[in-house]
Amino acid sequence: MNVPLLHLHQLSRRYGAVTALHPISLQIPAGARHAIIGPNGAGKSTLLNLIAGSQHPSGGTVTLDNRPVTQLTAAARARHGISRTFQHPAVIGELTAAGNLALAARTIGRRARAAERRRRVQTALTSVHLDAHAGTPARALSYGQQRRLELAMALTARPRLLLLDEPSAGLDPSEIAQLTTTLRGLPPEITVLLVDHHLPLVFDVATTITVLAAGQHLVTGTADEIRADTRVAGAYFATPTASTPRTPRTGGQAVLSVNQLRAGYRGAPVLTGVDLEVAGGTVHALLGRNGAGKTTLLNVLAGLHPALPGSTIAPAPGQRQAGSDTLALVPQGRRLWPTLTVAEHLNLAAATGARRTGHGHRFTHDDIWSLLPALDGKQHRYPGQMSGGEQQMLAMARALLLQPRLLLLDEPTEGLAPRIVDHLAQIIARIADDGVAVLLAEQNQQFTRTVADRISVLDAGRIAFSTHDMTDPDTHTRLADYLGVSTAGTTA
Amino acid sequence: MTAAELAATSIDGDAYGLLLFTVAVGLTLILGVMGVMNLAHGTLYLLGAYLGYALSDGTLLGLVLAAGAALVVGAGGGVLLDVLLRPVHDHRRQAMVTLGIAFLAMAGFNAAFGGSPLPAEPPSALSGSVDLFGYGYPLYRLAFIAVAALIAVALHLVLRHTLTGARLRAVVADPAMAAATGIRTRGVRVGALAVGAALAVTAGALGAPIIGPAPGTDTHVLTLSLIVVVLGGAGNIKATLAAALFVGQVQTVGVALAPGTASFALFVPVLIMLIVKAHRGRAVLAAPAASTPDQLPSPARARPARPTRVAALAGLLILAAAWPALANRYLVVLAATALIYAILAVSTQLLVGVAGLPSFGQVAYAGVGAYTAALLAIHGHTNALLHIAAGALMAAIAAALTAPFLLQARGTAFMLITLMFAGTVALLASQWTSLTGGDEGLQLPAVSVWPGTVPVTQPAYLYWYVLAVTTVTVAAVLLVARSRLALILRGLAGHEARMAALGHRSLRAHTAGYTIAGAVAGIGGALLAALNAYVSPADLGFDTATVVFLAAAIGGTSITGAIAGAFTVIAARDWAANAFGGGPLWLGLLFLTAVYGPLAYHRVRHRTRAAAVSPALTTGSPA
Repeated sequence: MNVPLLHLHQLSRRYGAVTALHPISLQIPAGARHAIIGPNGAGKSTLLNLIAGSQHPSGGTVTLDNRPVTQLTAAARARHGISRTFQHPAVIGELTAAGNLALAARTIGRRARAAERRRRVQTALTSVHLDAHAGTPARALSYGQQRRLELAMALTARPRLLLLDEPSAGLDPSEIAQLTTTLRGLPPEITVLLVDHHLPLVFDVATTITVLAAGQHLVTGTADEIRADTRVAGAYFATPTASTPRTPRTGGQAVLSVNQLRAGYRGAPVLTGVDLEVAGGTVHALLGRNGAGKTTLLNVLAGLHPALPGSTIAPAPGQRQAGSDTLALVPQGRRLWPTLTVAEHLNLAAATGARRTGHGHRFTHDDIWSLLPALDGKQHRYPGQMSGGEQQMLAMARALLLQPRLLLLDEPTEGLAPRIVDHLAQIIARIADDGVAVLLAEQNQQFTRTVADRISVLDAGRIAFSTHDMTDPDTHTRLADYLGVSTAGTTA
Repeated sequence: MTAAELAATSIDGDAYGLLLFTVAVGLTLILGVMGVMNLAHGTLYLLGAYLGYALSDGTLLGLVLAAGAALVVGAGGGVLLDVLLRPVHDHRRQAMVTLGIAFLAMAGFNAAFGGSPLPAEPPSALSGSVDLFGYGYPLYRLAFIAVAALIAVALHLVLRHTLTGARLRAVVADPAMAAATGIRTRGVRVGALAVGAALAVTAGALGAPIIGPAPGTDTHVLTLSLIVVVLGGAGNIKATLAAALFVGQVQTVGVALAPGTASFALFVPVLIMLIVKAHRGRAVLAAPAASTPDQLPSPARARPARPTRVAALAGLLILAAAWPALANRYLVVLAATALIYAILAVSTQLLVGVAGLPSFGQVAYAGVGAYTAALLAIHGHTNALLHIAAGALMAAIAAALTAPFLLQARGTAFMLITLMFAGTVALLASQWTSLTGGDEGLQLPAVSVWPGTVPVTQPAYLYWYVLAVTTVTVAAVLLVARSRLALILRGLAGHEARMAALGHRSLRAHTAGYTIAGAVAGIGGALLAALNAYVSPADLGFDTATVVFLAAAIGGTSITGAIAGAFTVIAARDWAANAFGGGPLWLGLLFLTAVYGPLAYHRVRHRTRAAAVSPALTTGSPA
């Protein structure tokens, strides 16, 4: 009875010099409701992909019901009863909802296949309230409907093990409530392995939880144990040891001011009216849940994504010509050029920076070596040969050599070990001390409170709360409310 | 062959290889690095070769002049390519535009230089020979080797060791991030295209004495360059050089040692390379610069009511059946040809429109069917139904055997591999003379529809026979298109990772679909043999492959649309060219119309609706 359905033994995954997942061993019993949580870049999706077979491990084995499946392809594992959803809903846009479900309904044996399949498709449509949309192409469904359709597909395949990758991402509260009900109502024959950022959902659904941080297995235990574990709070809040919060500054002139900014994707609004101001020489942090629109906001400011009419951004992204541009973006996932060396990254940025007016203090290569010593002596390395922390430093160096007056940092701590995060906080403080305005999108609250002069919380498409007082207990409570991580324990 | 002869031939191979390198490195820049599908690259070479022929007057100055003119014309061609392809983002349509340009250029070359090969002599100063291994070796080839080597070194230095090269690589790796770093990505793209095209035209001007100006040089050079690009990988100068030298040796030493199989031997390393790259999870080629997925036109148009459709179908069938009574002999044979092309287009559409696999290769399986029928007929089996069955079976077997290799590729790589595959099979047909009669082709006796009945020689009867087989075949394909297999193929085209997660094995479904498509093409080939009473590699070569691809593309993703496409294509290629002259001009225009027509239509419609609807948002995923 107590034979685990899924057994991971020393499973690991590396990309070049970056270890996405250190060796991890786990046993998931049949019928379990198990969740994997941890900050962005902790290796959660990698772990799920290794179990599903869409990525292959650098080491270790996966055993399903006493059967080694490490060598099997994703399709073969699916036929052994592993079913999954993807971070971004993976439906086949060209096919109708019914067509998608028909593909999920694989039948064994010859007789009455078509009739049996039609029945299963109909049942699945009803179960996710998509009856009326049976003939609608999946790409014409709303985001939430696509998520529901994908879950129905995963279930129609009749899995023994269901892997859910961020099922709540992009859903509104009522949809999350609906999802919770669906997941809680799953029959015990289906074992559930859930990765999600939305901790209330996790604690509602999961009975056992594994916490990952920076690719390391931190702890596994029951929901109550995890709730009480201070290390978990530490992983989410990554308490820096050395640095103390800076004395908040009010800063100089506003380098950026944004009024009633609206933006969205394919008609789905993400930002519904953002007001924001960033002063020179200060660090302004944006906090918000996954999908709150932090990255969208930064991309709009950087001119990578259009704002909707009625938004005011000063200076406007359209007016920023190559010569007078005052802004540089360090994007999420760093987006380095894999075929360029460190020196080439810096030289290209410096060539552009030389044409720009800058903000007074001009960053030179020597500044970069002293600010980011990790890069010194690695001029001829390619990004693939560097650690995650070094890659983040390179992305920041590339941005600084553009001589920005405003630096946009999108989740710079993603996937970094606490020690590196600590170092990063000091670097950001020094950049601000040089007079550069920094706008930082983050999930890591403690890190944010250490470096920021002002914190704004993005929620439901607008700034819900903004403060420069980091020590006020009220600030803690309100942050906890908005970010929904209060259940993971407090640092107090 | 003595060792000295071999050595001299191998130097010839180096000259040939370096010439290919100069052309192919241009294609690497355009296709491998910038992700622009340029099937007019061979045409650029041919343009240079004609330039060299026209401007060279036997002096060194003439040669330098020709090279200078080629540089300018080539750079201009690259800029033109950029302008033409700016609104065309996916490789499938880019291929059609550049093929259209190639056909237009072919019409132009024919008008200006006639249809026969022209001799291009090296300048007199370089026309002598030097003694190498006891053989008089042409001085010009040695000089060419030196120049091409210089180009290789210069390109490598620029790409690897200058800021310009770094800019290019940054744009290739992540265009949006490059733009955010202040790099002018448009300028980089135009520059790369101009340099790439200039390399091809200059190679033509300098290489004319080695691979001379003649009709067919364009496709020959294009095929070899594509092989070099796939073997060498994107943007790697050293590997491109190695691949070009390898191809050069196979084309000279290999052909000298084993004339029959050398060209086919080129295709084997391509397949190996494909499989190796597929297993390492690497893309064979860069994605299009705009990094938009191949957008197939959506068939979501209002369909007429069922009675209307039935009436239209009945009307069309009656017209088709009555055609021999209405039209003259020429038009009857033309209609029969169009019907056969409709079968080939439908076979292609099963792959392109249903499975999302852009294939140029169905002509190869049509060839298998055609030669099967021809050989049966020559050996006394003239029963037409036997031809159809055997042609379909042999083509299906050929498709099933090649599927596991070809289906390692997807998208652009699949498109190029099938194009090369079709070219290689045509080459095999022309070189395997003992079986296929080589370029002379095979004459076959008239077929009889039923055992013991009289042979069918009247065009009208042949036409009815073709019409009957086509109707049955198309009906069968329409049934397949509604089957579960087709649903799985559509699913794989839409989201392969999702399909794998549902337990669908892609190779199995793809192989099944590919085999059926191959059988359908085999039927078309058997019909073509019966209609013409003749089979030759020329009927099943590069041009036919592109024409069939166009027919399917005109039909969007629909099976019946592909039939209409086939009739349009035959009307342009055969009827218009016959009635108005101009040769491939009409086909070229049709290729361009097939891309820009819908584009212009959508633009006009979008503009008229823009007032009512709020500005369109760029597509993307919520953060």
